Amino acid sequence: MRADKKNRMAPLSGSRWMVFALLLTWSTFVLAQPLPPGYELRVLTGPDSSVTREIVQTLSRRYPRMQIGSDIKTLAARRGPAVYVTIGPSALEAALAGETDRPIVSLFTSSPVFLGLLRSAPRRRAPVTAIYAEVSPTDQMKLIAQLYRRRVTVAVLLSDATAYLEPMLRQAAQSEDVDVHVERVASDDNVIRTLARVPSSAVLLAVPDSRIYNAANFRTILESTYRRGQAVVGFSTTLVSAGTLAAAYSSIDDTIAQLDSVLDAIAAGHPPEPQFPRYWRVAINDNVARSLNVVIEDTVRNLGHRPPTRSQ
Amino acid sequence: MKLRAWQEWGIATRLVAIAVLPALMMFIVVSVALYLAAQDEVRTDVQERGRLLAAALVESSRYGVVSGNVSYLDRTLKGLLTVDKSITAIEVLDARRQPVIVAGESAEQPPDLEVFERPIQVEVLDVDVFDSAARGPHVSQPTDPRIRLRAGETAGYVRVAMSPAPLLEAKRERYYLAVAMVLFATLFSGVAGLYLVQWLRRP
Repeated sequence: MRADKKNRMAPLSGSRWMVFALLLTWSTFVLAQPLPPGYELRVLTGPDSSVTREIVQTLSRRYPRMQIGSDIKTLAARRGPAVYVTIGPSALEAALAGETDRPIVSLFTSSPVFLGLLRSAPRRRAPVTAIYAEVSPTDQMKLIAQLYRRRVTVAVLLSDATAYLEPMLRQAAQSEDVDVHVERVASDDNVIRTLARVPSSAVLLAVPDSRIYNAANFRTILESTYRRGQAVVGFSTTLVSAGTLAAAYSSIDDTIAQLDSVLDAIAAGHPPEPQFPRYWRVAINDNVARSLNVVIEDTVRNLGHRPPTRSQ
Repeated sequence: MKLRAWQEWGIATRLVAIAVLPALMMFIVVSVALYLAAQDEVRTDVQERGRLLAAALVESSRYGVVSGNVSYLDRTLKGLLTVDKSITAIEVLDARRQPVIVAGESAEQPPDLEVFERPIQVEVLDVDVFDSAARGPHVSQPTDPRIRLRAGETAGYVRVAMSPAPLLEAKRERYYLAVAMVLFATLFSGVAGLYLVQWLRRP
């Protein structure tokens, strides 16, 4: 036993080091995703932050030969076919303003912000697609249906900026056998008072709409719903930490795992439509669940769709 | 003249005076001190309670002011007025200082009232709600999920008016009791002086 342990702990000899290094290099190339033939992947970042660095690290593990920059002009000066991947709203805005004729893939930008930027951008010559930051309403409804396992009413507040979600929400509610109540919020409405108008629904599904949910009113929204015994299902783990019951979310790895198929489609000459994350997970706030008497089963915690394990 | 009168006093009178006068002085000084201390205590007490109450009401009225749902607040304020007689009025005002709810008499009136006011500041949860103002990447699972609170705009004001009269009333009984005890000590000193005089006169 001791001899075996000693053997395992033995330092690698010079030739073994060489083999280990070769294996590591080989595995990096095998794990790295090939870019569409002839295309260069240009990653445009926004302001420097720890989150941006984390995303870039994850991307560079998958695409070691990608070009990274925070200035669209520097990246645009490079020759040859390329696909631009923008990290966050400010990078997308810069790429749209740059009037590049190369395809753009927006990552880590929510759907309302993406659509808003697209509307306000100058005339585009390049196809622009996206993997949105938030999980689709369909998956959020799936989570709510699994949380309650009975027919509940899901209240959703939508403004003009998120009105496009309504058909998706209704369809998702129908397929998950839940009722949906959509309350429209006008630009001059007080959100808290609008929320009070919503009938005693069991769950409030929050969508990323800064006209409705913003840092200034989020605490009051949580307080208001809690007083009414309503649970809130959010769109990020931060909101779960802040006090929502649960959230369906997509991690950085999940989003980047989906990028392969988007790049493949672009290479094939069929840029896909902007899409919600395909891979997602669930975060639960157990304190809120206990307070609202919601029993969380393991099946709910394991709900979601994980990216396939990459073969070596 | 007065000094001469003192020199003409007999030994008995002098002994009584020695026993009674310091006690009488003590009675006067202690009574005045007790009165001033009671006044000061009431004033301090009113200020501490007023500040504490205003601070507590800021917390409990924040939701009502922001949401416009003040029915629960009305009950709370009226309950407070019933329990504590020294609170004469509580006003919750909006950001433009318009009354949202008023319990009791208006805090503007009598001059002996002490008024305590505190702003109702909205506490903002520093969360990423995927808005365009954030500019950073919208990430559903950030590495640091800690939530911080920061002070937001002023949503309104809480104003508490307190009167020291009920507290002074409560203190008055205790003051009278203390004065009575000091007076008793003074009388006891006089009686003791007279007894000593009788004792000195014995052959």
